[in-house]
Formats: sequence, C-alpha cells, structure tokens
Amino acid sequence: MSVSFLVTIATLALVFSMGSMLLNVESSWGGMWDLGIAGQIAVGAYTYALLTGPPDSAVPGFDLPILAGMIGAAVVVGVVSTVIGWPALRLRGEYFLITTFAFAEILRQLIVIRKDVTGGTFGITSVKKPFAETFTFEAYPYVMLGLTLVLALVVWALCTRLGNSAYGLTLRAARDNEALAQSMGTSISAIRISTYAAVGAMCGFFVAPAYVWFLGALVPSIFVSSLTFTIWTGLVIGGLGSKAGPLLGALVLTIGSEMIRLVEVSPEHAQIISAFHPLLVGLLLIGVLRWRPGGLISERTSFTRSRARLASASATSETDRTPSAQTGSL
Amino acid sequence: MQNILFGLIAGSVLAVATSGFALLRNTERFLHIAHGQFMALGAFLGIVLAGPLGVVPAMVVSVLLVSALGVVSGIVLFDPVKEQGANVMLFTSVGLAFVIYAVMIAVFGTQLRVYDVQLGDARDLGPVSIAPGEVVLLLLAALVITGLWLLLSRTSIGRDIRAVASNRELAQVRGVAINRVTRTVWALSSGLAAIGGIMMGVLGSVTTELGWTNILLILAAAVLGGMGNILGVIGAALALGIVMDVSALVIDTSYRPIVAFTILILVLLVKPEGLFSFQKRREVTA
Amino acid sequence: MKLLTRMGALLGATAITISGCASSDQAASSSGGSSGDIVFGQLLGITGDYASFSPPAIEAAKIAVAEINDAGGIMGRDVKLVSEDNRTTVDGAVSGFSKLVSVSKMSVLGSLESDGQVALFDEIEKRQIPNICSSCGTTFLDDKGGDYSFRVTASDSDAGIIVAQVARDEGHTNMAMIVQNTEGASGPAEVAKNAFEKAGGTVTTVSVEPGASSYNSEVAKAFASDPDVLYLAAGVESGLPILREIDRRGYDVPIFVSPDLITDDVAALDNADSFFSALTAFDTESPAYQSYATRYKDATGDDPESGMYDANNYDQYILFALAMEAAQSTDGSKVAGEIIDVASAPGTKVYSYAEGVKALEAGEDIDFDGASSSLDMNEFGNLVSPVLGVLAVKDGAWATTSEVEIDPSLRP
Repeated sequence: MSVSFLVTIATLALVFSMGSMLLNVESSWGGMWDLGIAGQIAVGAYTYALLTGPPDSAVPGFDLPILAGMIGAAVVVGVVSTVIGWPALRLRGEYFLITTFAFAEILRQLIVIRKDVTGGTFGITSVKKPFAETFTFEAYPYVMLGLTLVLALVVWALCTRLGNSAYGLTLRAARDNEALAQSMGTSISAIRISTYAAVGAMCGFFVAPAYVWFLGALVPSIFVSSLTFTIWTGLVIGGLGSKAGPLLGALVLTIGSEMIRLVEVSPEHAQIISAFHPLLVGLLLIGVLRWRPGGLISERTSFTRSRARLASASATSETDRTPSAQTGSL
Repeated sequence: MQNILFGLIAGSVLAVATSGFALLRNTERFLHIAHGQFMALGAFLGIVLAGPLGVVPAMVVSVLLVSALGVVSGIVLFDPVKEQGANVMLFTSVGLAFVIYAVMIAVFGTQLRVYDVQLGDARDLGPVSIAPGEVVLLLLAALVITGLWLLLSRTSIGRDIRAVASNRELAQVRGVAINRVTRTVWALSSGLAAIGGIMMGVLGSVTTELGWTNILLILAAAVLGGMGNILGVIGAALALGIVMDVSALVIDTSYRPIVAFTILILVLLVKPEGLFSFQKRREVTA
Repeated sequence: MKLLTRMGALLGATAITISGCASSDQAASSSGGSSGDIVFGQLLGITGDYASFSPPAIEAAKIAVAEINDAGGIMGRDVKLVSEDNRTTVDGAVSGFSKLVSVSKMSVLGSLESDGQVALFDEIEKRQIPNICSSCGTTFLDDKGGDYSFRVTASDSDAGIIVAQVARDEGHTNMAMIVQNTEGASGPAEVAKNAFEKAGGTVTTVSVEPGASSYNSEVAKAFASDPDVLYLAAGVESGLPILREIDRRGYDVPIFVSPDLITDDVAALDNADSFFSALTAFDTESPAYQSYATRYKDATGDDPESGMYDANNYDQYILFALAMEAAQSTDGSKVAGEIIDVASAPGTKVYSYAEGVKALEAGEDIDFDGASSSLDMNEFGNLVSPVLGVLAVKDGAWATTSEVEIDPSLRP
C-alpha cells in the first residue's frame, strides 16, 4: 500500500476541510448560505501567488516571504469580502446565495480577462512553497502534510473557540431569531459583515495558500463552482453547524472519492471509474441528508456540552437573578 | 436590431429552460440545481434515440422519459426530505445532479455530440437576417410558453398549481390535491428542462458539461423573474438574453457573463425582496 | 474534551503508521524494478472539459502498448498501461500523478495536457519521470523541456506564427479572430496577432466562452470589421456552432481553424471548403501512419483525426518503449536521455517498434518517424518541425494540400 499517495490525498482533504470549517461558521452558525467561497479562495490564492512570486517570471510577482504573502492574502480577501458583503448581506436566504454565486463567477472571469496581472488562462506557473529548499522531494509531501495539518488544527481551534464564545452565541441567536437578537442590542448587519469578512480573511490566510502549495500552479479554471460545491458537500455530510463535523465530512468525502483510484481497471473502463467520483459525492449527499440529516455530527450534539454548562450555570445563579434580567433571558 | 434578434433567440431558449425551474421553485419552494442535468439528459437522449427512432420522435420520447424521471425523483428523493426545509432539498438536488452527471458519463461517454438538424441559411427579413430553423425555434419556444401559460391559467390543475404556489397551507386547507399538484409540477418542470436542453443542443452542441454551464444563468433568470407569475420569469429570461447579446455591440464579448451577473446583482439590490426584511424588522420591533 | 482526545489518538496512530511505512515507500519509489510488467502511465482528462479527447487517446495508447507487447515487450518484459483521470483539473492532476507514481509505480508518463503539465513540471523533474505531452502547446515548454519533459505536438508559438504566415502569403490584410478564452486557444491566437500585425496586417479579436448556447453576436461582431480572412481558435464544442453560424449568415471568407478542429464533424459542414489549417507535417503515405491508421480503424471504426491527437498519443508510447530499449534500463534519467535521440535524425529510419528494436540490437542509432509527424526534436524536447503541412477540406475530408516552412522573420 503506497503511503505517499495517501499523504497526497490527506493533504488535499485537509485543505478542503479548512474550507468546510470556515464555511460552517458563516453558513450554519451565521445563517448566511454562501455559494461564492470559491471566489474568495481564488482572490486569496492569486494574491498569495502574486505577492510571493519571482519578479522575473512570465507573471511577475513581488517576491515577498511566505508569511507576508499569507497575511497579504488575508487582508485582500477580507477587504474584498467586506466590499461584496456590504450590499449582498442586505439580501436574505436564496437571494444572498445567488448573489454570492454570481460574484464568485464574476471574480473568476475577471481573473481570466485581466491577464496582464494574473496571467489569464496561461496561469501562474511557479509558486513559493514553504521549506521547499530544505527537504528532499521525497520527504517534502510529508512536510506539506504536516504543515497543512497544523493549519487545519489552528482553523479548527479558532472556529471552535468562536463557536463557544459569546460572539458565536450571538451569531447563532441572530440566525435563529433576528428580531429578538436585534432587540437585545445586536447590530445584525455588523455581526454578519464582520463574520463574512473574517471568514474571507481566514480563507485568504489558511485555505488559499495551503491549496496553492498543494497544486503547484494556478489557473482560473481551478475556481469554478464545483470547488464551492465540494466544500459544501464536505460540510453537509459532516454536519452543518457542528464543530468537528466539517473537518470529518471533508476528510471522508475527499479521501473516499480519491481512493476510488485504487481500483485497478483496464484503460477502456477508466471512464466508468472516473464517473465514480461524482457518483459518490451525489450519493453521499442524498444519503446523508435523507437518513442522517444532521450530518455525521449534528449541531445539537456538538453544542450539548455547552448547553449543559450554561444550564447548570444558570441554575446555580437562579436566586441571584434580578427581574429585569429575567425578562431579558426569554 | 440584429443583436436584439440574437438575444431573443438565446433568451427564448433560456426562458423555456427557466420556466421549468421556476415552476418547481414556486410550488415546491427550493432551488433545483439538478435542473441543468435534466436538460443535459434530455439533450443526450434526443441524439442517442434519433438513430433508431428518427430525429423528431426521439425528441418527443426524450421529453417523456425525462418527465417520468422527474416525477420519480420527486417521489423517491424529494418528498421524504420536504419537511426538513429548502436548504436540504437544495443539497439533495445537488446530490442528484452529481448522480445524473456520473451516469451520463458512464453511459453516453464524453465525446462531443451534435444534433443532425440543419437550421438552414439565413434570409433577410426586413431589418434582420434569420434562418428558417431559428424561426422554428422561436415559434416552438413561443408555443411551449403559451401552452404553459394556458395550462396554468385556464385549466383546473393549473389553478391548483397557482394556489399551491401562492399559499401552500391555505391550498391544502381548501382541499387542493397537493400530491397531484406535486407530481404534475415535477413532470412539467422536467419535461420543460428536456425541451430546453434539446433546443440548446440544436443551437450549439451537446456535452456532459451542458448542465453545469447553464445552471447559473437559469438561476439568475429565475431570481430576477421573481416568485409570482411565470410570465415574470419568461420576461426576465428574454431580457437577460437580449441584454447579453446587445452588450456585445459596445463591450468586449469576454465580459458577457459579467454583464449578466452584474445586472442580476444590481436588480436584486434594488428589488423589493431585499427590502422585505427591513419591513419585517420594523414590524417586530415596533 | 473527549472528542479532542479521540481525534488526537486517531491522528497519533495515523502518524505512527505513516512513519512506519515511510521507509518501505522510499525503497519502492526508485526505478521501476527489474522484473515484472513495466508500467506506462497515462494521465488525462477522462472527465471534465477535455473529456471528449480521452477515448481516442486511450485507444491509441492501447494500440501502441499492444504493438510493443506483440514484438516481445521491452527487454523481455511486458508493458502495462494504466490510465488515470485528472478530471481536467489541477488537483485531479496532482492526485492522479501521485497515484501513478506511488501506487502504480509508473516508469513513464504520457498524455498530460497543458494545465497539468505546468503544475506537475517540478515534480516530474525531481522524480525523474520521462514525460511526453501529446497535445499541450503551452509556450511554457518552449525553453524548459528537454530533460524530462518532451512533447510531440507543435508549440503554440509555432501554431500561432503559421496562421499569420499563411494568411499573409495568401494576400490577406484584414484578419478577424474568434478566440476561445482557454489556454489552448488564446495562446496561439496571441502569437498569431503579433505576427500578423508585424507583417503589416490589422486584427480584430472577439472572444468566446466555451459552452455558451449560441455565438451569434460574437460572429456578427467579428464580421462587422469586414475581414478578408477569419481565424477561429476554439475547440469543437464552440467551434462547430460558430462555423455553422458563419455558414448560416452567408459569410464567405477563408477560415483558418486551429488544429483542434481538424475533425470529421468539421469536415462534414456545408462551408467546409473554405476551411484550412496547419499542422506539423505528417505523411499519410508513411508506413507508421498507414499501419497505425489501419489498427485504429479496426479498433474504433473511425479514421484517426488530427484534431483528436490520437496519433500523437500512439507515437509517444512507442517513443518511450524505444528509448527504454536503447537505454536498456527503466531508470528515468537514462530513458529520458535517449528520447530525443530515438526520435530525431540522424539515425536509421524506423516506422514501428519492432523495426526499431531490430535496428537497436544491430547497434544502430535510430530515428523513429511516427504517425503524427517525423517527431524530430530540438534540445528543449520541442518538435523541430521546420515543415508544416497546410490542410484543407477536399471531398468532405481533411487532406494535406501543401507544405510550408515557418518564416523566421515573423518570430518575435
């Protein structure tokens, strides 16, 4: 059994899982169903590649160090997300969905058209990978897996922290009962835009660079809507709104669909085998939604412990409560 | 002027395709992403069956087959998850889209296919030049749309469909046969998808990617058209087609998709749906 | 906390397993072993945008592999073809490549297309895997190939120049271009535009998206400039509707089409007699082409189509086999070192694997002329191709009508 193949798909799986976790924050907790995440990753990826690229290549870059590239990507995507979010978030439900879908496609088209900046369809052919010079090419895939794993764990920690925090609570409250949250003093639009922009920035810092390192080159066709659907599928399968669900779901999805390659067939049947990838994705989606609609790990399960903690905390402080606070906790 | 005609042709094909999508959206209340794949399936069946059956019979059979598939999908896949809400139905549709896509690749293969249909040479007709085949396409689209409108406005099942579209609960209370409506809508929607797919195939070519490349434009037209009258959607599709083709006169054609989506976004921002939520908020906090 | 502990344990166990296997993986990643089947890898778009090219490519590869095995294999070992899907995406290429390298243990790689080629270039060089590209024209390879990456198709640079040259030589001065905004089409188009303008002509460009339902506006816009020649740089998906639209509106100018459109469907169109194209010259009388074409027809019922690059796929695998025989080894660096030699003059001309092996055994240098071209390469692994064939449609089929040499004055 060959390990370096497993290492490769594990790395890809972790990249997608970061996307799913971040999507979870804005979509399930925030209630903002974003179908444009591929666009945000695209902006981050190209920003990173251009900031760190060599100045003498076909598509010149600024040759900045990797960390600077990651931060730069985060900033740019954060800004772009704010600009897009400000009008888009005035829309609700499916209108927001379609708007983000449209924005992602517009961004991708712009990348194709502005070939003087992005290389257009020719793409960016060399990317700066961390520690590439220090390790042999045989060891490097393991290094990349390790790095991506670290990044994924950081994203997971950040998202979990966010989910458990007061901010997360407010976010979910705004999702579940907007009027009530507003009456309690939450600025709905502020919390939504800040979440959307923060998710964008994190895509720019974590997901985009990691994906670029994995791919080794950038072309606009990477960022078509199927990327968005793949990340969404990982989220849905894993469990919308849970904390570990998106990570698990993306891992299961990516590893499952890539492992199909291990089925040996003669070349004329290769087409049937390749049809398995979308078939698996589709069946998983339909199946999970039908029989385990919460996903592999549901939001309710995920937050059971936090709810229990809250319940016990409020039980002990029952006697301390003032009447005004009581009405507030309706 | 010629460009307006071009837009009309493209727009009417889009209108046929979108009307099916809108029907489902209005009555079943979810975005049926797999609609694109139904179109592709219709297009493929139309070509593949043309050998044994002849071109036109193959198209008819294809539409019937896809309609049947739609009804079956509705019963088997979508009814069970209906109470879980629109988002679950959306992703079930995405799942179905992937499954149909996979099956098409495995069964039909990925080679490009072309309809053995000639549209004829263009003749000048007043200020524009148009080919006989294009006239046929326009007439067909008009026929389908008129038929749909008549069905919705003049027949009893059409009345039931409209009742469910405007208020499902009320319609149920009033005794409308909800299940019958659901089956009919699925059949109509899928059949329209197949017709739309065949028309696209005749105008262009047929590949396994046909479904994915068109779904965004259909979404745009449906959303622009709004949730009310089906004519709104038709109008939106035609308008979108015309604007995209007329814009080719003034800007570089590579910006065409951007034009369509920018218009979509701008209209959405100004459109009432966006303002609705403010109204709601005002109501509650008052 | 419990979940975290569980996940931590899972990750720990995985890490231990991986590091345990790592050492055994190291040993296996070197040359393709010394016994058992030799694996020829094929990484192409079985699904995705380039899906329509894959069935002919796979058939052609199978024909090559069968020919090699029938002649006794390489160094007495059979060849096994493993075809892997890259989904016409970069991540598909990366994971497909990984599988071919570490699981299938391929010794050579063929059929990669431009995007995958560019993304995997460094990996290919580092892992020392001989890699021949059957249809990638990307200018990226113009000066980077030759060590491990080679190609058996003309570079976009050449493909673009020849458009301008032929148009200029026919006396045209006003060219309109309809260009698909994908790399394979826009690459040559850009080169053609610069060359034609350098020769004093004017160019109007209109771009199209693949997969649109109609192209009426784009065609109208292109012809609004009243050109005397049209260059259509597109694949069949958009190319066929565009050509039909041109015919429908009655536009009657010579139309130069990109090589992707050298297919039977295009030749069957009503206005096909105004089409022409140019390709690296190939000789339909050559024994290699004849024998390949017969077998291709037996296997698929169709003739080879230049626009599908099937013959190129066949040639690349015969080249690999001959290079391996010449090197008497499956070691990547040795095989790669022989590829340019067995493909190019000087040497005894051979037209099949068996002929090549026989000549090599007799101690001769060989020059394999293949079904898609003479395959002679320069030091960058690009086709030397001083001679290109100009093709036109005669009696409903594409045929070479003349040959031209690239005019160096048109190069940038």
